[in-house]
Amino acid sequence: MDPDDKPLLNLARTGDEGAFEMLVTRYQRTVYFAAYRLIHNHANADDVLQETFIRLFTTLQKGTEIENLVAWLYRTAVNLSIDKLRQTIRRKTTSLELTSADGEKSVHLELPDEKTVAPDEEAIALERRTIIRKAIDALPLQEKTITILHDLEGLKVKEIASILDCAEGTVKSTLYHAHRRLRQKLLPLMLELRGESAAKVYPNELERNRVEVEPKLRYTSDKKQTEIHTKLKY
Amino acid sequence: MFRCYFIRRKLTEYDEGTLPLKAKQKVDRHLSRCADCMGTLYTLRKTQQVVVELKNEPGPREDYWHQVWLKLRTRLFSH
Repeated sequence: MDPDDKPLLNLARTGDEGAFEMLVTRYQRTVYFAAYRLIHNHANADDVLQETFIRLFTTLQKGTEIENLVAWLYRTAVNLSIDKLRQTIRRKTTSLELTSADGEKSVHLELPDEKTVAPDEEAIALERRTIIRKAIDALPLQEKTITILHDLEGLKVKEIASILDCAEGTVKSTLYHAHRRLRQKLLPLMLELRGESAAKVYPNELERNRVEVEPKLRYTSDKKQTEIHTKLKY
Repeated sequence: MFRCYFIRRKLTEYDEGTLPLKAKQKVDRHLSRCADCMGTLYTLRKTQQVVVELKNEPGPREDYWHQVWLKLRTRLFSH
């Protein structure tokens, strides 16, 4: 925790508006991106952000001590985000469903808003992010949450265990399984970083994971649309 | 093989640098002679390297951040 947080928390507890504003300014990006990376929806992430700080304010007004503000914020934001995700699943929000090459429906995927035509490099980066996002969204909720907190938020195993109120062993084990699943789906992207093809470099890896992934990337002639077809076999 | 099972479950902490010294040294020694586990560590790092690309997702516009506090202030401090 930032050593400056304690005096600000103490002041905010007395109802000091300036102190609370400083806390909001200091941690709004942290809370927003933690929520957004889980939910991948700006409006819902904004709701979570607002609600997290309202709860912080209410908690402080009650006189409750907060030992570790960052962990508290993450815990609250993650729980609210999971609630939002569950609401979204129940409501079956309209989102793009990708159909695999053999006609079967795959997981829901909400594409990021892109208002302008992206140059080639940006289009490729967007395409890669879409594949990565899809792979993460396909993870079971606990694996997805822990992967995001560890790999994207940069939190350590011990911190995640504290935030999610679970054993460190659970975090390690969940992360291990999540990475195994992600490896299967992201292997071609990983190998692109080395400029090699999957079949050539890691035949044993493919064999071990029993996977065959063929992302097929197509651009229309005027490069306004990107179609992504992913054929997955397990 | 049996040993590899335990080593692989320590690789996350090994990679993030939070293993106690003795445990880290054990993993170091094992990795120096086990290509399989070294491969697992390599793909763990590569997986994370790919996942981290999501950090490049565009965030909200800059003016959004100014509005966050204004909205909160209205809800919490307006009487």
